[in-house]
Amino acid sequence: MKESRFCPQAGAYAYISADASAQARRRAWAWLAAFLVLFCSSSVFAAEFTLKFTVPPRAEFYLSTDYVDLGLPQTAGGRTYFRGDNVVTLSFRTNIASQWEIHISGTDFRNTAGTLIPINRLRWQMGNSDYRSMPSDGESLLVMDWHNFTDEILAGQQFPISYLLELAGDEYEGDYISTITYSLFLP
Amino acid sequence: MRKKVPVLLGLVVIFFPGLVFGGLIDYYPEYDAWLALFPGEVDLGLPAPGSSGGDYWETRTPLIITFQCPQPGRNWQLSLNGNDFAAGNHIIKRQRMEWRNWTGSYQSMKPARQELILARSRDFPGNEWILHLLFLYFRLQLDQWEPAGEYASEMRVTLFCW
Repeated sequence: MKESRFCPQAGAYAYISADASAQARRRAWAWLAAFLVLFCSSSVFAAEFTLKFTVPPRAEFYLSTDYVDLGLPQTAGGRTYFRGDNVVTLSFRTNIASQWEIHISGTDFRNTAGTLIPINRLRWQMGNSDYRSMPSDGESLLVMDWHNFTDEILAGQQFPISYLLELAGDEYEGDYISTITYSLFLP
Repeated sequence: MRKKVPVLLGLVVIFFPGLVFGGLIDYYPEYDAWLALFPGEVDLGLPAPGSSGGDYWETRTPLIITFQCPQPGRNWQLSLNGNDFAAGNHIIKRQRMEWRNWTGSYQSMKPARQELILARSRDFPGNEWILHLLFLYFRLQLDQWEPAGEYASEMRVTLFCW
């Protein structure tokens, strides 16, 4: 009986089976290589190269002033409030189109006697948008992020900021100070 | 079957050398013409401050292109084509890049998909048999506030022989 690789005689089975398996693997690799070669070569009619360069990320971020005095209170319609219109200008420019964020945070207003007015009573407004309350002391609030990236921000944009503090009537007299921080987070 | 694989690969090497050498070499059997370039990637890297306040890039090591179309009476033309430079959704027009050959002066690359003629046979009369060699340098000047990113363009160098 003629020995066949596919119908081995008893006793030779294990050896021939391993050999056939190795050959099949080699054949599969060879076909894979040939396929890749043919697949990739189909569009090569000329020499190609990649020309590249990197524009580095940049950002400018500053405030027009480091001190704002809301002055004396005003009254209207039975309300008493402090108001500062466009008292700070936030200048911002970046060429980063992804993952940046600007946050605002602040400390509670304190006077020399140690009494305080919670900072979340202060409201702020950027440009012509609606007034928003400040986050509580120790927290921060998102002002804008990379989803707002526009050509204006790429060219440099200035955001006037106004503040409004309405008194609730439970405040002690005195000069109150708070530190408000704008933070730019970059990727 | 085992004998067919090396034969197949051999044929690919002969007829598609561009693949075997990573797209850097191509061979035209009917004209016995060669085209090769090195390296396969020209990275201008990060910019230096430009003279006008913007960013400035320039190649330190040139792109070397060598070719031969060794048939008397044949004409040849070497051209460059490619797209605009892209990084994500941001595009910088290809024509803002400048190029020069070795001692030549810089000139603007043409807009994307327009063929830029690098060299042609009528500028080298009587030199059909020599191996032509080009050293291409690139430079770029941009405003400092272009969107950040790694911009790249796939460039194709084509040799026509006729």
